Amino acid sequence: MQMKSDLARLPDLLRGDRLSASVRQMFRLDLTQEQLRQFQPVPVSVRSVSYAAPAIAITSAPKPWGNR
Amino acid sequence: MGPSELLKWGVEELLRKCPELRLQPTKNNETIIAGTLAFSAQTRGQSLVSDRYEISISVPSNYPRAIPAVREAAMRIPRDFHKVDSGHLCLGSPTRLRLILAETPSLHSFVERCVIPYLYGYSILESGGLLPFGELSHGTRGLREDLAAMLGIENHLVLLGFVRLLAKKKREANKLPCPCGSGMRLGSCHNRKLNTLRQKLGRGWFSSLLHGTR
Repeated sequence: MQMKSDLARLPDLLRGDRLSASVRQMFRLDLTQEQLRQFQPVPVSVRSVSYAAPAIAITSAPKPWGNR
Repeated sequence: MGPSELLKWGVEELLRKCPELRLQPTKNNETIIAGTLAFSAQTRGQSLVSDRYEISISVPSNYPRAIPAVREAAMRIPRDFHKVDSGHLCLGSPTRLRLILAETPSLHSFVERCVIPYLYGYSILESGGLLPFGELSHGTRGLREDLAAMLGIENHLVLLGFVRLLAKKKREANKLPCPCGSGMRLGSCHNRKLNTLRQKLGRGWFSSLLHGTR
């Protein structure tokens, strides 16, 4: 029950002002509010919470090589 | 910090910074880290690329003296791109990779400086662009090209002369004529660049290059 209520609150939390923009950018939650409200099984394709890597600037890099 | 502690610390740092990678259980002392490597990267004159690859990194117990082997698990990168026969990615010449590990031995740095640029380059190539950092020829020719770029020398005979001096002790090499043809001894000419390389990689590495054991 606790998990159900926590999940139900997530969309509001992510939309609201309680999380900073940077925190919201770090995680993209692919759950629709309707699916959460009904708490029905969510297809695997939309159930993932994916990590957004911080951008890096590549100044120099080794050139790919091959031993063949 | 001992080698095993350095490795443990490096693995922990990598898993913390790349949360979609996981330590894989293995039967022996091998350290394998596998999972999704997500990155956003950009270099000068190129657009920002955000991509994800399924990879596994096999970290040798004598890391950072030995180079980790990286495999792309989803077979997105074809075999005829820069891969070795075993299917591992040819991230760069061994000399270049060892130099990078000598400068920044952390495993996360290895991923950022060697693995991500390779994957970033392939993502650009896959979308119809050119490899942003170029590529080396395969085999010993590629090794020579990379050494020549490191030393800023184009002539292969001069390069061979430098490699011979790199395989000698510093004191001994500095007394010999500089292969660049200046007429000065190495100690008064190209010594700094050579000393740095010898210090970071060890003269044994250059000796093995000379004798074809690498």
